[in-house]
Amino acid sequence: MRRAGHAGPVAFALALLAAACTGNRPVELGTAFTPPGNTWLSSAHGRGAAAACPVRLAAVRNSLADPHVLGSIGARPIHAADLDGWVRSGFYAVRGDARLTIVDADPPGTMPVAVSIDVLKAYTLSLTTEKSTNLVVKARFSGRGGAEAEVTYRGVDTAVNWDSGQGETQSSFDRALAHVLDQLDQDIVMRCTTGGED
Amino acid sequence: MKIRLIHLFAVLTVSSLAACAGIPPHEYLPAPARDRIATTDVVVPIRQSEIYVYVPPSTAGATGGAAFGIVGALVGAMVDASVNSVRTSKAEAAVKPLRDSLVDYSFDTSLQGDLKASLGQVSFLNVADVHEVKDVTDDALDAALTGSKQGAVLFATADYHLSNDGDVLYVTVAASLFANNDALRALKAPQSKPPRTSLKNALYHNTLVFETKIPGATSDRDHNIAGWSADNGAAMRSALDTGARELAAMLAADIRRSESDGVDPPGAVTATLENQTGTVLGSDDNGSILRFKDGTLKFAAKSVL
Repeated sequence: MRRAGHAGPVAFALALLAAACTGNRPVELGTAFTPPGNTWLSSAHGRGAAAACPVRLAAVRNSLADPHVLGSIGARPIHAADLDGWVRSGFYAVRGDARLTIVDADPPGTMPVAVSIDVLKAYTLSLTTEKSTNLVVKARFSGRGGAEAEVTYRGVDTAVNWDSGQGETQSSFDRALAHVLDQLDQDIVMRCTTGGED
Repeated sequence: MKIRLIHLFAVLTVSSLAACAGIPPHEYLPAPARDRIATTDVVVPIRQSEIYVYVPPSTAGATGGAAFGIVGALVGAMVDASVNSVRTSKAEAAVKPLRDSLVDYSFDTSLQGDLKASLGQVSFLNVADVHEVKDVTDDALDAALTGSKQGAVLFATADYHLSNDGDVLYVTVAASLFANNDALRALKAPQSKPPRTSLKNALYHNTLVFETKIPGATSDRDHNIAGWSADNGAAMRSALDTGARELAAMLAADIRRSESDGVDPPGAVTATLENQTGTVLGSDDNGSILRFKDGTLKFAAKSVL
């Protein structure tokens, strides 16, 4: 519950001012994911790493209708030159979970959990005084942890649209991705736990 | 500062109204245009990626506050903003199960396929290509027009959403056809002021709406959305597919009409929907097409008639 009592009214006033300044210039999503705080991986908080499980990002695929357009905030379209890069940046931030080791290649004698990510939806929708960001990805697991499996995750961030700005748009996407990564992290750890060393 | 905000708000409102002034909701395609359209690109702008619930903006605060002057109106408007914020967050949470049930469904693809099939039967259009754009700004649409190599470009801008209670689905297509060769531009010279895709420059335009309701609807949004979402979103998939098909057929028929087709025949059947009365142009197994006095069209499914 981020919403404060005065957030809506203040956003309303700021939106009036911002409309005159920002026009419909595109907002560009950056390629660097910034975690929303230190405890964003909920199940990893406070846990040690007795034997870190290797995890490899096998692929990132962008299946959006237009791979470079991510909806709009206010009157401004949101563009992404490298959505895959942003998703990769987020995935590598999962190394904050000490139970996992992110590897770039299969280590000798050890089979990592391989994860392929397909971005199905990524957009911000502006409704009344709010912005709602949705990120939907399909993750395909293989390697360590048993049979191949697919799981779809949705990350959502709904918050006041302050001024249709670059910073708040980036933060909203980062929070939605963090929501996805938190769920993904838990499933990876589950595969590590149940799959054991092959 | 407060007075400046009110002033800015007033200016923005007036500007928005001015932009729309003087443009009728519907204009028939001029008869001579048919012979001058060599080929047509169909561009389908769809801003959204998933369905949403329309939340009507609260105005009670501003209306009540206005009785206390400018400061009262401003405070009232801020109260409205708070109300809007809470309502929108609840609506977004409520629609999530429906979105999840439709992740593998694409309304965009469905509509493009139906437009290609229906408009392909309008011989004078000679449809060359149907493609979608997700950037629905004036600049992007102008680029789609100027970047086309065809003599005309038909935009079919689509939106689909649920009512605030989640019981009624609305699918809207705002159609507009623009000249992209000298022969067509001679019929209606485009204004030099951008955007080029302003309706003022359109040779033809109209708004077409499809409306249907979930069976067993109540005033409980969660109940209604559960109905749409059941069985992997079967009811919503079916309704969106039907909407796309009906709207594409309506557009193909409407762009063929001329001024003389706008007169209701004696004894024409009328129907009233949401306090608007229209002439019934035709019916099929799914519902009826109504034409309102301003020329706009609505397909009303049997569930809403």
